[in-house]
Amino acid sequence: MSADFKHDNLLEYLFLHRSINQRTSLEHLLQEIKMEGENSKPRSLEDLLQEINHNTPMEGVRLPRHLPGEQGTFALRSSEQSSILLHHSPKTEPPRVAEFLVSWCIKKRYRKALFDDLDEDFQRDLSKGITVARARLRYWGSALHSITPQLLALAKRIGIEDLSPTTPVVFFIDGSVRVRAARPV
Amino acid sequence: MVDVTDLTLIEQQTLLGIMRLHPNAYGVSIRDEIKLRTDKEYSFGSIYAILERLEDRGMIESRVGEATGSRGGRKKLYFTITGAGERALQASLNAMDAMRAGLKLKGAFA
Repeated sequence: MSADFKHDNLLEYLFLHRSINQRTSLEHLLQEIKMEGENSKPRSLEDLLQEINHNTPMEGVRLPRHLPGEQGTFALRSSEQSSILLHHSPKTEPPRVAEFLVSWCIKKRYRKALFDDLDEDFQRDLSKGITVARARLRYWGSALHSITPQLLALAKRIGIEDLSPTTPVVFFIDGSVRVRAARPV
Repeated sequence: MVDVTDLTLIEQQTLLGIMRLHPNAYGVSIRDEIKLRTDKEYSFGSIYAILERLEDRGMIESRVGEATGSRGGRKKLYFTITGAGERALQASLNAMDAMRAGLKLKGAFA
């Protein structure tokens, strides 16, 4: 660790000083730790998690029992008092089916940016204290609402001219999900 | 030469949002800025459809930013308005002002 690193709790230090308060990939977490100092001893993922397990008296912290794979993520949530590490669970991920729908319908050019924006919204909802189920519903609403313009454009391209947001089917699917998802929290 | 007559309301709002947020205009911030100032919430699909159209017409440029911790290490795609975009926006707003000049709208201030 660098000379000015005095904190015993590595993870809490990173939460408070390195602003990794959103869902953070393991790769990014390790990168942040590496950036703390050239002189720090190299840390493997196993070392990191052992240290976290040893040094985390933070209230409300739950840690993954098993090491997630390299592609795994920690779901992190910050509160005013402290930072909370949620249990690594697929439930804290955005809904996969919605992601698939978006990936299928959105043009490749801005697909990644749109995914990341949807994900930022999802993580923001979680950090505001919205339940995971509701956050996932809101993600569904945003995803369906996002693909509607693309579907309408596709419909026009293949010759369905009279399809519009006021067409009953489109209106029902897009509108109902949007209204449910956008309901005030 | 950009045809300013093609600038729709959402295109105007998006361009103005990008100018206001410069240099931190990306999908989420643009959507939030429009929502904050107009109370209209567009979907990301709509926003990116507009951004694509504007970029194709040379009114905006995009660049990939640095990875930030607030997005879990994922990079943002930032947008900036070009000179052509500023001119088109100005002309479009002028055209709207010219149409509005001299009219007294019910409920309008002054």
